[in-house]
Amino acid sequence: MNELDFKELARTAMLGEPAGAPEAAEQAVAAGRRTLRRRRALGGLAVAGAAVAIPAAAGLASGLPGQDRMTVFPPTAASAAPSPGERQPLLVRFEALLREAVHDRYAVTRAVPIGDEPSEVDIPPRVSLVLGDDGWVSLRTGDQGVTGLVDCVGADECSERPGADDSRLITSSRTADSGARTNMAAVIRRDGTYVSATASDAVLDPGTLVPGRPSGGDIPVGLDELLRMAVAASHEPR
Amino acid sequence: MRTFTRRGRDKEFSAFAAARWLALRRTAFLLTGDWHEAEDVVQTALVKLYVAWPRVRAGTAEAYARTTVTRVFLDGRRKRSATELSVADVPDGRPTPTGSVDARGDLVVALRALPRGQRAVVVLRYWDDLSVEQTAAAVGVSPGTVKSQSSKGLQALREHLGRHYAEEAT
Repeated sequence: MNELDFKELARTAMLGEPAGAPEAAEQAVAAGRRTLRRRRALGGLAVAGAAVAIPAAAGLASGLPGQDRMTVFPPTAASAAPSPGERQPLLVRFEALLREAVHDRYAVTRAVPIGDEPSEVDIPPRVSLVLGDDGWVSLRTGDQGVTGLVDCVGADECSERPGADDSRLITSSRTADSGARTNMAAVIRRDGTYVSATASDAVLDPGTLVPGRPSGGDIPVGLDELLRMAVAASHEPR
Repeated sequence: MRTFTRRGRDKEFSAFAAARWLALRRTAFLLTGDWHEAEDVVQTALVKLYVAWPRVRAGTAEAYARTTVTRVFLDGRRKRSATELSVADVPDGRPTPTGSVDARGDLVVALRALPRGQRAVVVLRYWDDLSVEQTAAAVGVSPGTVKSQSSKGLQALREHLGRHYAEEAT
């Protein structure tokens, strides 16, 4: 095979090329404008992760689709154990989100041979759930910080699922070779702030998740506590 | 940096995107092996290009767009990791857009067997006719890497397609 062979084969491979999409340019312009608006809305927040995370926490608490209201616990409640009555609704909502992620939004999108799947380390860890030494699952910010927001906003997936309060929910999942499933739920608010949480079945089964460190001081307590409660509630007897 | 009114920027960008969209999609198709995924890649790249448009110097838009398509494709590995499910059994062959597997897909199948970086080098060099230096800039590797990867890539394609060629020759 030489260069000419390659071109000939490539042209043959394109015989089934679908028709063009004349609206593609207009769609790109519209999406580009939205991205610019969100960048302007974010302003200098891109270098201040905590400042972004705080409104994002409120986004998670108030922007989940289908919910009427979710309590946001104040920072002073961080060390207080939520009552059973507070835990159960959070758990139900949290688990429902993950189920939707698996069965509704992202079924099998592509077959990937076992052994060929990307490494876990390739997942941009924006905000992750980790099991702390104390047994609690908590949040951890990743190296990507808020830089992932731009890519996310520019992607079609961000507009898939409208939620309450002008937010949109992004969900995804994958199953590793070991059978462990990773689910991701992210909420994008109209003002561009967002939060994402990556969890796995291991969250519901302590002992199989690699121990992590408790969340750092830059994590908003409200969100941290919210997810702690969701996970803690999942361990309660049904 | 160029300065635009919004209307002027949109008009110029739209004209460029409309003119280059098909060519970019073809490049993306060879990279991804799937027309729908190719459209996603191009659309994502165009959004990035729109945002960067004032910084794109006149006459370099096409190279900028091709580079962005390539980078979106290469970066897509991370996004795939969060959206794909692995399965134990993979069907033989790859379905074409019409759902059947035939000889037209041979090159696509062979390309998908290449590592993504090597695939990008081969497609840019031998489909888009970029020079070694241009390919290196688009993929983000050294010219030496482009030379070695294009050679290895072509060799791998020869091996993969060898049987098909032999049958055609007889």
